[in-house]
Amino acid sequence: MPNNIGRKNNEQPSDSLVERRLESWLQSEENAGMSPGTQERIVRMLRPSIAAVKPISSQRRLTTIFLGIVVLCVAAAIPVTGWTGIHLMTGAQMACMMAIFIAGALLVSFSLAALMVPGSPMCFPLSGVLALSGTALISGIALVFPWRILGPFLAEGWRCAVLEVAIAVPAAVLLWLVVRRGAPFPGPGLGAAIAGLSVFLALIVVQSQCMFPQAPHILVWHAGIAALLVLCGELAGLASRRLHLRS
Amino acid sequence: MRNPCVTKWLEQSNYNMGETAADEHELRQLMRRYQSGDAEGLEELVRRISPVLLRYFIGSSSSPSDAEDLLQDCWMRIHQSRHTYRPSEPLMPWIFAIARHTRLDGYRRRRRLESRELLVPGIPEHLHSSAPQHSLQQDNFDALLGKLPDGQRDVILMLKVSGMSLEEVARATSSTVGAVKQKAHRAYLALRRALQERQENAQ
Repeated sequence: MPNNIGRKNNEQPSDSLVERRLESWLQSEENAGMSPGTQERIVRMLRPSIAAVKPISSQRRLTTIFLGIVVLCVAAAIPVTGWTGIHLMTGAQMACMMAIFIAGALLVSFSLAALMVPGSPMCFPLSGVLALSGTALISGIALVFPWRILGPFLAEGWRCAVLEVAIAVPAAVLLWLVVRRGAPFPGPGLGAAIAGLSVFLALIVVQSQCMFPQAPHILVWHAGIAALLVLCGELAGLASRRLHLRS
Repeated sequence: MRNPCVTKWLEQSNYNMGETAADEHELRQLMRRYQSGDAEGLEELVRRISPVLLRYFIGSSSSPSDAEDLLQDCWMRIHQSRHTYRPSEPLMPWIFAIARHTRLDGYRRRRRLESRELLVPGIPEHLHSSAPQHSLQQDNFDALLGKLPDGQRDVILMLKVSGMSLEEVARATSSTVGAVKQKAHRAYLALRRALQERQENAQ
């Protein structure tokens, strides 16, 4: 059977001079070929561990699994941490925050599912999703919550920050357990995506119990900590790639 | 009335697209056999895809022996992550996404090793014989390719070596079709400029 992979191009930009040189370069490399026995060596290397594997779930199913984890964790945490924040928010504030959290969690889940499989189409690039979610969150908070400080800013703020970290970290570990089924190449993007989704989960819980529905408090102690956690996730992804390179 | 050149191009593209679909279908079936633990499927897949992968690695690495090492590493990674391939998806973007990561990791690993190497006062005698061979290779088209930024070189190699469409290259490089088009366009411009400069210098 003739091997004609690599000889079929369509809809590509072209330039006759460069095309000619590329073609002749490809021909010359083809003539060079690979050293004898390379293919046999590769097959010999892989054959002992060949076993049937189950293909990974579809992107839609993975997205649903991630959203399911978020819903389950939120449903388990809110009865423990309390509902005070929900009662203190106005209808507009609640609608705005819910819309941002749901849209953000959905988009990050979709990107995370795409990152799990090499060569997946990136409908929503992760950096764009994170930037958009961050901007929407900051603008939403700044627009719908009042700009005043009630109560001790530092002492009360720490409580929310600690709770956010305490929820986000185990959630990230749980998500990682699912993600590691795919994602053969760890990296900062994957770390940021896992952290991003666990942060959305934590933000919903923290917002539901927070007794300070004021813009400065939410921006610093909720959104600020969220940004730090995403950065930590990115760094963890980077460290994991370094470890992967060393192994 | 349709321009004859355009008609010829369209006929050629249709023919090529048909050929691509048939090839892609066969490769997907081989991959499915490989996933179900069929050693013959693996052997046929290695035989069909290795030359394409090797050409991609030769175009993006410094020597053919490095390229063969990358090829072996790439097959090891394909093997370890074969469960992440979904039979309903195109195969070549999946393969080339892994190849691209293998190349990047190989580059990072080499850079880390090079940063730890010590400079010696002279080149050892036994290495002199291989030096002219390398410089001859550098004089060829791959030297021009080597000067392109990583992203642009990847796009050109994937388009030309694997014959993937712009959409498939976008999948393999985790970017958008627009970004791929832009990189290909810039790479063509840079290569044309370099080729013209070389021609002028030769005259």
